[in-house]
Amino acid sequence: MDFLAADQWAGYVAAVYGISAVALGAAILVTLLAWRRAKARLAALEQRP
Amino acid sequence: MSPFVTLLLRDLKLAARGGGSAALALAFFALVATLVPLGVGADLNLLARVAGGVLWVGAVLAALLSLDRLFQGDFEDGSLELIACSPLPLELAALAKILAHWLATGLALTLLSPLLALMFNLPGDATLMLFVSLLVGTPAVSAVGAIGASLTLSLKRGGLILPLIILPLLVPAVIFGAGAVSAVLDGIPGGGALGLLAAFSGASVLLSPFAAAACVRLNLSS
Amino acid sequence: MQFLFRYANPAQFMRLSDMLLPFLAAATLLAFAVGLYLGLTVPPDYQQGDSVRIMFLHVPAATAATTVYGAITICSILSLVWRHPLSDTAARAAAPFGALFTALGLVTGAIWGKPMWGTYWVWDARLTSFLLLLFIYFGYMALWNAIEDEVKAARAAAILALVGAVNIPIIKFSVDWWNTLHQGESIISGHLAPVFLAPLLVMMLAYLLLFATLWTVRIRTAILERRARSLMQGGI
Repeated sequence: MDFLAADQWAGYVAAVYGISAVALGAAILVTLLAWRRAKARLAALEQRP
Repeated sequence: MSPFVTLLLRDLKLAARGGGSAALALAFFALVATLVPLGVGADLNLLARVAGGVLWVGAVLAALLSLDRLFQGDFEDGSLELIACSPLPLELAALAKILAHWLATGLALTLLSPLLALMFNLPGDATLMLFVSLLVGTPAVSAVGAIGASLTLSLKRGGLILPLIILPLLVPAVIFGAGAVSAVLDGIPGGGALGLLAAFSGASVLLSPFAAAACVRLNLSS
Repeated sequence: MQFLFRYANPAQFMRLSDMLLPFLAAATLLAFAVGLYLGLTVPPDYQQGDSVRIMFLHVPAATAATTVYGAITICSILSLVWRHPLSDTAARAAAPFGALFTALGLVTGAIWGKPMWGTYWVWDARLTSFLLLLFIYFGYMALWNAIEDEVKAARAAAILALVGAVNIPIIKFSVDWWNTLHQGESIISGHLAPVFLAPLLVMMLAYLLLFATLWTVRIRTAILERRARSLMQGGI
């Protein structure tokens, strides 16, 4: 694919794509982990009595 | 005397008596005006170019100092509830408080500004524009500030959030106010910027009592 | 209006979102796949070279940031005027995503600045307005966190969101005005070659779908947390 033979700005493009991937990935992770935690906590509470 | 005027005079008396908020704001304003040249150097040409912006920002920050007390004192001793129950609509009461705050703070800062402009080597016509722009613009600071003050009313450390909330909202005032001064410095008429500033101020003063009253009601109904 | 209130009750929302979530997630993945493929394979711009690919991530982040604020505004109106019960939860849940998109838009915009204007930061009207939007998000989230009473916090936050909504166009206008005063012409040129339009639009859709998916999960999480809290209080 052409994009691998990039020009002088390749570093900048990579930085932008990398940072965006990290940020969005972190958002997804944090959201899903919070959901799992809330679900587990509720299940534990509902089992108590 | 109408209830509006009574409230206004009462707030002015309180401001004059307790804490000397006007004096504090003036001192802060003067300190900022002193610190900036110490920070950026005494090049008089540079100082004249930044005077409009620096003094505008300084005035906004100085007016901020006493904003968190706008409703707080009355809230703590129960007077705010009485004011809310009185025949005077809460929106008008908010307007009276905004007016009192402006007279005690904004107006005082405006009157001090020509002296500080001198320290920045600002030419006469630009100084006049600075004075007029502060005169027209500081009511917006009190008005928008009142919204912030009423939102953070019940908070113990609300004073820290208040600037965060209202400073972005005050950006238009700083831009137009300082812009008017820059325009005069560059030899362009500053009327356009001044007009925009007046519009912003007028709209703020007209609309913010409604938001502030809504927030006060919110905090009283606990 | 009736339609909205049908899904106002948390149990209904959970059921509805249970059905929708897989589709939302799948659509998000598809949009990203297509968008990234298009964005990375489109031939480079004759002027800007490969750096134009930055636009495919910067602009979607920026539009997502403002769209989220629009969503918060609508939720705030629903909360204040019609007292729609879930809208407070929804508004609060959306804010961190809005702040994230804004920050991402700022960072990617700054990196884009080097190829475009030669420096990382330029007081361009758009970037400056974005910086202010970030502060507005911070203030909104701080207010939610600072007020202990949840109902009060919801009302206050809703009022703040609306005040912000009224002000943001004014702020944008004033920054634009200031920018033309100091910089002359607008820096980012308006025209866009049609070949770049497709990746851009797909990526914008992808970002919005991602927000919709994550937002739904976050609201569901909040509903579960509230249930857990009421169980804990009832159990004591």
